[in-house]
Amino acid sequence: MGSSKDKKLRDFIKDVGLPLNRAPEALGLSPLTFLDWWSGYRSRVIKKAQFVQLGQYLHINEDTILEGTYDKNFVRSILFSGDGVMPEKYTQNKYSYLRSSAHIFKYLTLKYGQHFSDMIARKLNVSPLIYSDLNNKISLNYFIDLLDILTDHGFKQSDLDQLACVMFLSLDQTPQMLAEFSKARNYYECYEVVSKNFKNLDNNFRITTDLDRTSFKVTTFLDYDNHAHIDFSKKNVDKVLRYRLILAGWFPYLSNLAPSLPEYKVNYTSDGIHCDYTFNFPAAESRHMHLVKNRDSLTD
Amino acid sequence: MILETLNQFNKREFGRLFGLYVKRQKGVLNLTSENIAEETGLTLKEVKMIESGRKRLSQNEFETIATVMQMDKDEILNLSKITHVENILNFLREIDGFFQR
Repeated sequence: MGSSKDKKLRDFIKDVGLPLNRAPEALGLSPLTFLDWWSGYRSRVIKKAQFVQLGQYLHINEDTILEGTYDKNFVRSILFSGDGVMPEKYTQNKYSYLRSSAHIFKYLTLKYGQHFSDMIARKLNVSPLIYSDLNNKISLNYFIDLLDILTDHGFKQSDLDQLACVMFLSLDQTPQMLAEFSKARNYYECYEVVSKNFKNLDNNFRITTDLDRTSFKVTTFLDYDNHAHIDFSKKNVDKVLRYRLILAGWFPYLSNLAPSLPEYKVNYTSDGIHCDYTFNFPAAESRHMHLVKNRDSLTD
Repeated sequence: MILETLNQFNKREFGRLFGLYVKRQKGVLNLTSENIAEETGLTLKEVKMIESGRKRLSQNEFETIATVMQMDKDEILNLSKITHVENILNFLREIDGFFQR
């Protein structure tokens, strides 16, 4: 087997996210031999038999691996379909839709590769296929742990802030919401869409909204009684609130308008956390201040 | 997509992300850097610089590579928006002071 086939196999393993602890079995090699090959210590390990074994393991024709014509989604569904069990702390009080964090995994995959995002999913003890249905719900604990694990992997606060701004990455999976945001021509129309879709993103907070032509006021309340499973340490609460604040200010970006952070006020009471946001819309003459003069210039 | 819509800071980061995408497509299409150089009329050195995000792309080079490598327009748009977002965030950090808290 030539080295180009070795490289193709390596690329395949990285692309589909084949976990390295399962790779020896998938390739029909002993763990030690696989490790020697993977680390570059030994070559001439990969022969035709390894491709045949891998093809059988993944229920695909081995030639598609060499040709690069394999169906990545199918391979991943074979690899991870048995990992449906989730930690208990994520299955209690499930008030967040997965769509509210899907963009984060898409971003991690685009910027750091499939292996990195799969590794983060495994650290959370969830399946890498968790985002196959964005209508599923999960506990707020999942989100808190996700930010924690990313911090453990070297993400600074500025990197975490950025995660709140790339919501557009998953909107193509909710075409109706994408169309509504695209149609909005000013801040009022944009936040009208937000107001209508709050419940499709997150139900952890009890929310009341008040929208008029000049401002959008949102009062939110996270009650301790219904979220007894959450660790309400200051570190965790600050992290979540900061993320939500930036996210809230970034909705206009989905309508090709400049982001605008709201004024906000947080109150900690004996029964929960109250957080009020006020978005003051720009004056009428600047309401159509788009991010690029010709909004088609990024899409042609 | 018009590369000129990205400013200098964005161009650099976009080039890095675009290079990663070129590498991904190279694996998917089963091409080598030599194949890409041949198909696009670029030198091998230039292709390698593009893959590592070190080459300043001209509009023409960008379009040729995107066509030859069968790159998805929406995916490229996402990459440009990521760099756009980074730039706006940096700008807000400078003028707002909020992010320093």
